[in-house]
Amino acid sequence: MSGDGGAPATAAEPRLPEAAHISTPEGRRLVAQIGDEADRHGRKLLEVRNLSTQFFTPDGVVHAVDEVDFDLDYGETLGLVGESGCGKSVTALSIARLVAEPPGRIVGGEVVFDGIDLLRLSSEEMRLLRGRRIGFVFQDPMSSLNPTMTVGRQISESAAAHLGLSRPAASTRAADLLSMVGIPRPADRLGDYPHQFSGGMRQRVMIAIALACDPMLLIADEPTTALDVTVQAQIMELLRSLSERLRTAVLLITHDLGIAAGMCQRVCVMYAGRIVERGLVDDIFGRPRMPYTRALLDSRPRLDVEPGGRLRTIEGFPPDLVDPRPACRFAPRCAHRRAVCDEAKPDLTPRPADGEGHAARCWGTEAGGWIP
Amino acid sequence: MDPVTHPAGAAGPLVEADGLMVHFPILGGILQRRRGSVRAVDGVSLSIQRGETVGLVGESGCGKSTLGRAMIKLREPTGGSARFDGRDLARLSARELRRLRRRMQIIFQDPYGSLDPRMSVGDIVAEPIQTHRLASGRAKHERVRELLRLVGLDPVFAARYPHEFSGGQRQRIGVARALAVEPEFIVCDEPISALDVSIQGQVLNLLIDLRRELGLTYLFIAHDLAVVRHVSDRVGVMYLGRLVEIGASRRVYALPAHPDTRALLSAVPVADPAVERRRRRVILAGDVPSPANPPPGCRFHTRCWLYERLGRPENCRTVEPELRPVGADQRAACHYAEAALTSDVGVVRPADAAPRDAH
Ligand SMILES: Nc1ncnc2c1ncn2[C@@H]1O[C@H](COP(=O)(O)OP(=O)(O)OP(=O)(O)O)[C@@H](O)[C@H]1O
Ligand SMILES: Nc1ncnc2c1ncn2[C@@H]1O[C@H](COP(=O)(O)OP(=O)(O)OP(=O)(O)O)[C@@H](O)[C@H]1O
Ligand code: SF4
Ligand code: SF4
Ligand SMILES: [Mg+2]
Ligand SMILES: [Mg+2]
Repeated sequence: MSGDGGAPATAAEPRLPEAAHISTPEGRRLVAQIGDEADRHGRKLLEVRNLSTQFFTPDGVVHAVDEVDFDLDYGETLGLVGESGCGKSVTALSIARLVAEPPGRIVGGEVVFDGIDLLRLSSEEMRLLRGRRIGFVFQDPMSSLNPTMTVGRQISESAAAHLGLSRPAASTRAADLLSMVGIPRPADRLGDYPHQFSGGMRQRVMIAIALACDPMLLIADEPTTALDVTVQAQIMELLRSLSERLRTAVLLITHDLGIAAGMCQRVCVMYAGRIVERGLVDDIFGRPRMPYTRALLDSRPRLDVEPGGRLRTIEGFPPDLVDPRPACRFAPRCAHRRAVCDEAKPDLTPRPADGEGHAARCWGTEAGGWIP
Repeated sequence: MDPVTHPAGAAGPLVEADGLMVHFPILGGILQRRRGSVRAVDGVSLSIQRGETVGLVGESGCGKSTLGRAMIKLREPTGGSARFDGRDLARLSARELRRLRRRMQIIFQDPYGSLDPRMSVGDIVAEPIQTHRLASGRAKHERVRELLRLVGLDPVFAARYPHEFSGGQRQRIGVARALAVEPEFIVCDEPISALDVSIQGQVLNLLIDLRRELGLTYLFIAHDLAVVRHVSDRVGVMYLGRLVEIGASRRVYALPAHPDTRALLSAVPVADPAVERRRRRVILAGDVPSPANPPPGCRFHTRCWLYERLGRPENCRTVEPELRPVGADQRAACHYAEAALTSDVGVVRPADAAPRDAH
């Protein structure tokens, strides 16, 4: 997780004047203004437009994220679901401009965060904005916590750096944050090192660090994948109550459809680098309009469905993202495939009969399509 | 699920654990003296009939893998006994044990780490055939091709190496290798949890088909309770080295009798937003205590929601509950199992689910 993805070469003038780096009082004032509620004019917190990120490797160009497009409203929890390698993490890293460059590069699109196109900020401006406004929680807390620094220091440094707090104030804030994420006897644990915490506790510490400076957006990339269901339920409950209380928007990345069903207001389903379906949870789970979404729902045993018989499976494997097929990427595995699916790329188009924003990328469910 | 057919005349359990214990020493100090022990498996009795699949669930570190390994003597028990086909594994000579080994196999969680990257797929599958001198030359090659076909892989893959395969394909190679010696009993230790969602179903179907075709007996370890219900005739729940509930899956999932079982079920997310909105969850507080120093009385009392609801009864803290019958083919280790049985915590009934829109 190092190195900032620089702005694409084509970037026009940055929104913040060159001179007003955030290290200057003027720059600080500008960043402070982000998040001013009076200034929202009905826009979304995050508008991702046709975002494409590629990796330039010896084996060829990996089309990891291909024209990804979605909105995330203030205070909303949006799920990004899909199988391993479909581009969820790279999407999140691209939004936060954390894609390692090289080999990666954001090759197109816009990421408008609270009215500012992040892809046009300088690396330094981006770093400041990230620390102040966007918190990140990763799948594996051990690799993102510093093993040689006490937990208290890791939290208070983040708070001190971004909020300009004095040392004692930052330390108090660290204890408050630990208590907020449900760690018993927080003041006593500030001096402990990450290895002295269990997996679930470490993930709580990660969340405390991500929340240290009151972000408007929390990006949680598979925050519970390595944990037990019981601890997973604790962490999810924590994220849910914190996002409600602090009105923090959450971009929740998960491959577990159950988690998305319970946590999110809206969901985007990704397959092979593209969003193939998005909409309100009830539409995605109740009326999926893309065969892949339906197949994902059918391929796992569920506690709420009486077991019996064979599982319906998706045959074959997800495609290689080096030179992926231009038309429907799911076609080789799709039971509803027709000639057009191999000839032309389906767009993410609205399914207007359903709830707000329901859109799918599938010829078969377009108006006049053959999938009922 | 299909009814399980038992080979004629082969009554009695195929695999049995009786008060099985595996304690790992905790060493400390300059002299590396024993300071205590991790009671990974602490007195478990469990028997598995021929052709039966027993699922094993429980939080991380509760001893599932250690129990599975001890039952086939891949891990030396420190107490109690493990029997296979009526014979105590501890009393066998090395030669007899080697012969028995063939009949008990294990499939591991990690399809990446468990295959030797320097061996071709054919050699990986052939190795146990060679070790047990089951076939050689042409017959061996023919057997390898047959095994690959059996697990749904093209036999031409035999010449390739593990890194050329996807996770699901590697797991199939692991299954082919385990089947090479024609085992009767297979410990499946988290066989699908490292796989992609769309691939998990393929491997699960494969394991179920093989069980029917070959009459296999499984101990199926997984943390995914829905997956375990799908494959298991009976299910056991472990907590801190002990079996806290065991019974027919149908029964345990519909009427869990141990508060831990109910808490585990309650924590499972369900892929239906309507069900999720309606569910009431009990969320276990805190983490699992150390198995080196389990709480006195009922090991679960430090996290038990029922203990709290009942006003912290004293016997939960002082008397360790025995695994006792609480219903037809169901046993639980809880002083207040009857109260747990009548609670509505944790159970997701299919009837709760809104009918899915039929497109
Ligand atoms: N540094 C890199 N170099 C080359 N390719 C990369 C790099 N990072 C990611 N990729 C590729 O980009 C694609 C998307 O990866 P990404 O990590 O976003 O997947 P994901 O959906 O997060 O999967 P998972 O569920 O396994 O975390 C994959 O095909 C991956 O191999
Ligand atoms: N070789 C070993 N030496 C010392 N302790 C061990 C050893 N193997 C396992 N343990 C300990 O024994 C306990 C049970 O471990 P085990 O791997 O059986 O749990 P599990 O239920 O399979 O967990 P998981 O779901 O994480 O796989 C744990 O506390 C573990 O740390
Ligand atoms: S476009 Fe065609 S191949 Fe692709 S998902 Fe739809 S029906 Fe299937
Ligand atoms: S015996 Fe007491 S503490 Fe243990 S599970 Fe039952 S109610 Fe809970
Ligand atoms: Mg990822
Ligand atoms: Mg294990």
